[in-house]
Amino acid sequence: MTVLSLLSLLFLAAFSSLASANSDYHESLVLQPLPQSALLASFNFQSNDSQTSFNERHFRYFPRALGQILRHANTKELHLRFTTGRWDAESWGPRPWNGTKEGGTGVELWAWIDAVDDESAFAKWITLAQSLSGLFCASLNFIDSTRTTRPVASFEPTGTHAASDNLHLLHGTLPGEVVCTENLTPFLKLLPCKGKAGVASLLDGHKLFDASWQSMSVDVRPICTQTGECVVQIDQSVDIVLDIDRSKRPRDNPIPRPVPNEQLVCDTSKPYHSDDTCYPLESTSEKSWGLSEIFGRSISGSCPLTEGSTDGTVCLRVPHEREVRATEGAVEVKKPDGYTRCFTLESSTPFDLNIPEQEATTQVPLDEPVLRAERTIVGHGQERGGMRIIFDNPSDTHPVDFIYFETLPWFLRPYVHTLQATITGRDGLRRQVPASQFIKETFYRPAIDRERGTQLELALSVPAASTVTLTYDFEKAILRYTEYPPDANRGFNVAPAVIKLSPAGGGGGASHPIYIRTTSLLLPLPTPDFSMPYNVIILTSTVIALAFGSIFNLLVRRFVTAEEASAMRAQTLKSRLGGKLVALRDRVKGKTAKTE
Amino acid sequence: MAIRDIVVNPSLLPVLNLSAETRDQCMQLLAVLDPSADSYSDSEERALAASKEQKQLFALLARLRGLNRDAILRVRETKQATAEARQEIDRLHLQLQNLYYEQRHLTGEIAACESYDHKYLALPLIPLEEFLALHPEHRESDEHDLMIARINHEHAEREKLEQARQELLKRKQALIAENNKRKEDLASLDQDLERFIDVSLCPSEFRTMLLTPGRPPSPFRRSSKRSISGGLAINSNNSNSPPTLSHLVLYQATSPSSKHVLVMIAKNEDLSSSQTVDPHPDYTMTVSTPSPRPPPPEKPEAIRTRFKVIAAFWAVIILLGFPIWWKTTSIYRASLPIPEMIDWADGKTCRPVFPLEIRVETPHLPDAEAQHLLRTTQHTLDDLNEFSAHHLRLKLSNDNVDEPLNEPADTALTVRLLPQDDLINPKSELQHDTTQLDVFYSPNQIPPLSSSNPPLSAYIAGELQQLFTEEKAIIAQILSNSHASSAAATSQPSSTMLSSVSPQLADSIAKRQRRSMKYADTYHLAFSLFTPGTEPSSWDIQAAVHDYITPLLQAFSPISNFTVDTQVQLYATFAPTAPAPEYDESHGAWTLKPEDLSAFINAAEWPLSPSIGPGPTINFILYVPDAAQSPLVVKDSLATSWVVPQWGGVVLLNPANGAQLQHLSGDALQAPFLTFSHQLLTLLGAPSTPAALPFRLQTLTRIRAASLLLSASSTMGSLARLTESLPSIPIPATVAASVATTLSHLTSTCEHLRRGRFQAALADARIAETEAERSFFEKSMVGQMYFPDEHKVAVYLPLLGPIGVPLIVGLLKEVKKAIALRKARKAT
Repeated sequence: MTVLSLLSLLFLAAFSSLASANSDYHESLVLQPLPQSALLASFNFQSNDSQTSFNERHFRYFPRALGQILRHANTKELHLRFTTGRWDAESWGPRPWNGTKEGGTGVELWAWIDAVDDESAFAKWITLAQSLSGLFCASLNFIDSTRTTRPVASFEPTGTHAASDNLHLLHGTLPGEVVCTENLTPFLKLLPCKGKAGVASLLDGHKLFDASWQSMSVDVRPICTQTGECVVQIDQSVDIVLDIDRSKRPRDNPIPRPVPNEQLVCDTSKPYHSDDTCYPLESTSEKSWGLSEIFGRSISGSCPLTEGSTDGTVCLRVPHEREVRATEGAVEVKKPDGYTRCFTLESSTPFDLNIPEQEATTQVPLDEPVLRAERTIVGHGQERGGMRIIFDNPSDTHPVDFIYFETLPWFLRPYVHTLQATITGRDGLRRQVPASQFIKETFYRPAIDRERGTQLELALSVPAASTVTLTYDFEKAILRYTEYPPDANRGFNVAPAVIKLSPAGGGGGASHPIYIRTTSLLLPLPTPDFSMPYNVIILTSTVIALAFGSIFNLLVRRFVTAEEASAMRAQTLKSRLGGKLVALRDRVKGKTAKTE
Repeated sequence: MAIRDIVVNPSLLPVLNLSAETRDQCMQLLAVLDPSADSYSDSEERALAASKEQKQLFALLARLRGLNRDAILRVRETKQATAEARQEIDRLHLQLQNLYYEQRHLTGEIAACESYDHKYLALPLIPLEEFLALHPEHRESDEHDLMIARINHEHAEREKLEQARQELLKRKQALIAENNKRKEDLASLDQDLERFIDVSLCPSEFRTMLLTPGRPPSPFRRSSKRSISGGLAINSNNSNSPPTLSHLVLYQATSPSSKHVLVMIAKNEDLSSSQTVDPHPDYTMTVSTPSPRPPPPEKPEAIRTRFKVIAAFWAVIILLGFPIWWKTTSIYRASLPIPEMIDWADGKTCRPVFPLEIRVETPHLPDAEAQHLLRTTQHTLDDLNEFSAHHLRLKLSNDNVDEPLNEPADTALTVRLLPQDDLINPKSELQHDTTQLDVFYSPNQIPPLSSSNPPLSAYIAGELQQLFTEEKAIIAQILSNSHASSAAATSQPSSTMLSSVSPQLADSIAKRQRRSMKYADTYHLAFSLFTPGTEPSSWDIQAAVHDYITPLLQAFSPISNFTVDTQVQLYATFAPTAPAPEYDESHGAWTLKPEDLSAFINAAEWPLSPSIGPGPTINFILYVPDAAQSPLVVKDSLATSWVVPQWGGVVLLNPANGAQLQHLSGDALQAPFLTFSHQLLTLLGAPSTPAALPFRLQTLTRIRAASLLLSASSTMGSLARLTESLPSIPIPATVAASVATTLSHLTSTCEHLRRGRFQAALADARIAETEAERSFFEKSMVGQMYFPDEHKVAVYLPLLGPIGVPLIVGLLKEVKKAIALRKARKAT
């Protein structure tokens, strides 16, 4: 726990060094092999434009399309996240960037908007969401009042803002949004080098969205130095966890093939080991991989705008004794931490990186996550359900303080009085304790049907070496007929919860908070039979018409005998014909009572 | 047995002989050799004799062998001959056997034929005598023919009988069916009567009928009397026996009309027996249908009740149902002044006129002379002008007293008359930064008060006319375009005006009209630096915009607002579909074909998205080509800039010495930005003459006011036509309010124009245009379009169909009856 995450240190160091630079562009790529043949690739692109030229609408590195949107929506600070997949904290350790550059599954957007009051802030927020929706080809325009919250403690502005600004924080999520290539293309267009040079040239939709986990983020914030020089910084990052084996498959033949018999390494000590039975041994050597193998292309030189930056652009985190073959011309710098080496690219020559298969003697140590969180829906039936959130503090010494923030859609109505806590120690004993023992503060904003969702923020503290389980019950609302989406039986997405670990408590000394997001949930709601209204219309119409017809006829018709009726009919040709018809009918039915 | 007895074949006899001879020779040889015999003296002799004998023996043996071979050969031949002969014998034997079989089979067949037992022998024919009696012509024929004839006869007879049988069967079926029908009729009559007796509508009569002694006492007698009117059904099914009336039932039916129906049913138990012969005519079934009587006329109470019922239903429908339906399904349609709107669109309400006030400053002239000069100049101007909508009014600068109440009209131009001594002809000069025309004249050219057409006034008039030629042409064009479809009377003056301007001018005006942006409150200017590579990546844009664009925008600020965005975009390559520039050896430059310029802008890749917020975006692109493709020019004209109509402008910047610049300095940007400012003027629709910018802007004010007035009017017309053609769309009150605002502002625009206050006119026209657009694009007007009438019918029909039909039929019948009643009353 005391070991500072080297990864985050690196990122933070890079961040602080870049933050001071003025009107500049930087990009970096950090590659780190993870256990189970996974590879984490963190792309980061950062460009600054001075605040004055931003205000005068002279855009150089900052994309004009985004700048216009921000100006139009009075947005001072913007954070946009596109995420798919699940970060496997059990095997991959803590999240990249300490979770600050990732969002919940789907799309997450939060922004600080300068407005005089809440209403105008919300109007600007809607404008912002709709403009971004057009820019990023995402359904951000579906962020309406029911999906918008105003978190109190979960988010802090990261930029420097003037005290005179009347800032409003608004937060919205779209857990059901599917992130795909159409979001990546506008993302790349925002870069000054447009993915045609520099590390961005590796980004390819086919590989990126084939990853086990991927997250794209856009952060815009104003940053002022001590000297009063202000810049507007746009920080774009893409983090992906690729399966090396899967990525190495050729694109035209992606079907996995079994390992040939000769290449299988078997555990001969097994009693059942024979010619046709094999218990494969865990390979002790690391698999070979290369940039062009995994991403399908190599880096086409550095982006010329980054010239002058001394830091390496591409960094690889493997032990120093590991053999790495890079393209000629790239300058390799080994960092003193023993695990990081960085390469500076040539401006026009393509760059590739190859790691041959070799025995792995040491591994880059991964930190234990500070907190593990899991959120699930429990219960059964169409009417009620329950939420269960499990917080696991792996540390044996330090308690963890954090803020738990969740937004629930209005059709999920929680009963906060049922909020209960259970604590389980390492001994495995469960004890029911009052929830107030862990919950230090609560901010609760109840939902209003069809207007806003529930917002629940809890300041929690989990003691060392224990697992705390929070549960509460909820009721599922019945939606109106037109409120159901086309795929109503799939269920309704519930946004992931956001956990902010305050830096002092569990961050291990880091000055920036750590964010953890749970997975998104799928809530099944009672769904009606959608053809019912039409059936009801037709059926009731028919019944009413039948009843009315017979009553009306009984009231207004005169009853005579059959002979009289035929006598009356016999007077005209038409009625004679009619009489014959009636006779025929009577022969069939034997019915004698006739009406006029 | 001796060998001679065995071998008898003569061919073998020589062999035998020879063998005997040989044997003898052997014997001799033996004898010779026999030592005991000692017939020879010495051994030599003996040997000689022996050899002689031996030789003879050998010869004999050789002959014997030859004979032996011959014999063997002969034996073989004989064997072969024997085998052949044997084969022949076998074949013949087989043939014989076959013949034997055939013979036996045929014998069998013959026996079978002889023993065949034919059907005709068993036919039960009529006896021969009978047949002969029937057909005497066969008496002579032999037995075979006779038999055939008999069989034929039998066949014919049988067919006849079969036919008869079928007929009889049919008749039987018909009779059974008839029987069943009668039975059913009777059964139903039975029920009918029972019912009538039970619920007898007039039981008293029935009772009296039964009980009154004066009447025929027995119902049976009645039956005999009324059997014509009543129904009598006798069912007979047996062939030769009279019908057995197993039971006879008698019913008497009564009805309000005192009609009696008497039914007699004869039921025969034996229905199943078959019928082979026609029933006797005596027993033919008789069924007589009852001759019905019409029901009695309805009671007046019943008619009244029915009328009330139908009236009540209709009252509920009309008073309750219909208002509810109307209330719940009607849409709100605010009333719009449709005729007024259409009048505006047709240009009937307002005929835009442009009286331009021109102030004449005559600091060095006495009042009377100035007045005279003014009058004569005005007169000349009026003579020159053939476009009545646009005319110039001269006014002395100190002449402000004529309109003390109204606010004064805008001054379009100030003419200053300045005396200059050494001038032969008057000279004029338009000031560049104000709207002022200086006219220099020599003092001796002041016309005397008596002269009617002095040269100085003619000169001034000509100058003024010249200044306003283009403006007039543009306004005439705008008016004629908008009124192309409206009445010819309004477009008359403008078309005559149009015909008078030179074709080149008209052409250039039309071209500019097509190129220029539509009027908007706010224009967004976006200056973009594009380069296919990485350099240049920065430019001194702030200074360039400040130096070249901002002054222009300030001048335009009374007309529109502007925002300025700039961006730098690297790696901006051409679209893959766009044709690549070609190298032209003669000019040493890369050339783009003029027809390919439309594909120059890579709309898919280059971030040229329009700016957010209302108003169009005007894009200005500064393209710095790659060093490898520099210099880049347009083919033939060698131009490096062009205007994309209603979109923006493009300038190609080729670095001076072919070297790539990392940074574009202010000097490098001077030429492109001057081009941009020129393009901006074109895109905003400013006239090209005269040179003075303030004057051109004033002209633009008038042009914009005119075009806005016309565009708002035509929007009103479109809205009016839309609301008329789509009766199902709602019209919210806001639309009505917007329309009212638009119309009032249009009116005031027209009024301002008439009074020559063009700035105010433009302000009003802007409001009118905004409101007109708002009313036309009102969102809530669109929703109802998706519920067509067919949809409603599909929902209502299942309910309204079955309910409506009996209601309407009932109503129609009542109405018919009422009419008939009235007619009958009139007749009586």
